Amino acid sequence: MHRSTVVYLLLVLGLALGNEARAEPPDFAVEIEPGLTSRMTPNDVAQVVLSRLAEPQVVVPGAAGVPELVPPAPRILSMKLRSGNPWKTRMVRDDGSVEEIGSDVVWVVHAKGSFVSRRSWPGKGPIVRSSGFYVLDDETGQIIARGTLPPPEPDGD
Amino acid sequence: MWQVADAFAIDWQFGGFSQSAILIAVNQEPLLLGNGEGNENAESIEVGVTRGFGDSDVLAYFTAWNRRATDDFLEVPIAGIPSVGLTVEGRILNCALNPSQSGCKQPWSSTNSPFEYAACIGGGCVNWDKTNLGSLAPGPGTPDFWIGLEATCNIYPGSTSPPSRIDTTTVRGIQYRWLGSWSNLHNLNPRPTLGKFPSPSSIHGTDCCNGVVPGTNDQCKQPLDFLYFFNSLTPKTCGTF
Repeated sequence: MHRSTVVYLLLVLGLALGNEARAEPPDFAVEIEPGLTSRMTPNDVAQVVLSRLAEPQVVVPGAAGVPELVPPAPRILSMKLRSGNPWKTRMVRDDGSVEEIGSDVVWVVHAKGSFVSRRSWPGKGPIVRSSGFYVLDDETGQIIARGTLPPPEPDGD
Repeated sequence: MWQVADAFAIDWQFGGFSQSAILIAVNQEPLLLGNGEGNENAESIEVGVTRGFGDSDVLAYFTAWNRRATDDFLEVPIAGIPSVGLTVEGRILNCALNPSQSGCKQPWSSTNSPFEYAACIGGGCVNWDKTNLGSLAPGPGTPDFWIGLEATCNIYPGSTSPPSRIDTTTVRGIQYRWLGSWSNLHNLNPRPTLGKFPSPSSIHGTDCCNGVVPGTNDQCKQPLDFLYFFNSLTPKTCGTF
C-alpha cells in the first residue's frame, strides 16, 4: 500500500470534551488525506469515540472465560480522515438493483480504552483488549466498524 | 464430517436471548459450524443479528471476524435492513470462487483479492478481504471459515430501552471444502448436549460436488447449503433486568 499523497499532521490539543470519564489530556495526531474535506471535525469524532469508550462494558472479571482487564482511561491515540470505505453495505433489492450504503470518507480512530468483542468463541468469553480502533462514517457520524486490528486500506490504494 | 463445533451457548434454551444481565458478556456465544478437523479455533467470519452492536442500544445486523490465536476482532454493522418482523437469510459468500453472486463486488475485477468474501443478511452484504486481515488459510478459495449466526440481546444493566424482538431467523450457510475430506450435509453431526440444533427436517442441503466424492487430493469447490432456524421458531423478547 503506497500513498502518493502528502498528509497533513495536525496536533489537536486541549479539546474541551466535557466528560469526566475522559481523564487524560486529549492530544493526538490528526492525519488528513490531501483534497479531502470533512463534515465532522476532529473534535466531533473524538467525542463520539470517547463517549463509546466511556460507556460501561458488560464484562464480569473472573467469570468463566472472561479475561480480567483493568481498562485504561479512554484516550485517542490518533485519527485519520481517509477516502475509501471497505465495509459499505451492499443492498441487493428484489429487482436486482444494488444500492451501496455508506459514504466514502471515513475517520479511522485509534484509541486506548476497553475494547470488548460482541462476538465470542464457543466456551470462551469476549475478546477484551486495551486498545483498538473505531471507524466512523463522516457523512452520518455513525460507527461503521470497531476492532483491534488496523482496518484494511481502501481498494487499489 | 461437518459438525456443530462446540455449539455452546448457555442461553440457547431461551431462544438466543440473554436472560441475565450479569452474564451477558458470556452469553454471546454463537452457534458455529466447523469441519471437525481441528481448525475450529482459527478464524471465523460470521453474520448475525444482535442488540447493542458497537455499544449502541439498537437492534442491528452485524458481521464480525475473529481470530482466536491473537484475540483480535473486527465488527461491522450491516446497515439498511429492517430490524424486526422479518425472516432473514444470512450467508457468507466466497466471492473469489463465485464472483457473480449478488452481494459480491460488481463488476468483479480479476485483481480482487482471492480472499474476498461477503457476509450478508437479507439483501445487505458487507465485504471482507481476508488478505488485509492476514491469512491463516492455506490458499485461495480454501477459507476454512466457520459460519455462524447469532441472535442476542445485549442490554446494559439499567437500560431503559424497549426490548428487541426477533421472530425467526433463518440461516443459510455456504461453506466450501477443499483437499480431500469432503462434506456431506447428511453427515451433519449436531452436538445436542452443547447447544440446541434444529431438527433435521429444518435442514436442507446439497451434497458437495453434486454427490460426487472427490479424490483425496481433489479440490471440491461446490458449496454446502443448509438452512436452519436459529434456536426458536417462536417470538422472543429480551429478558428483563
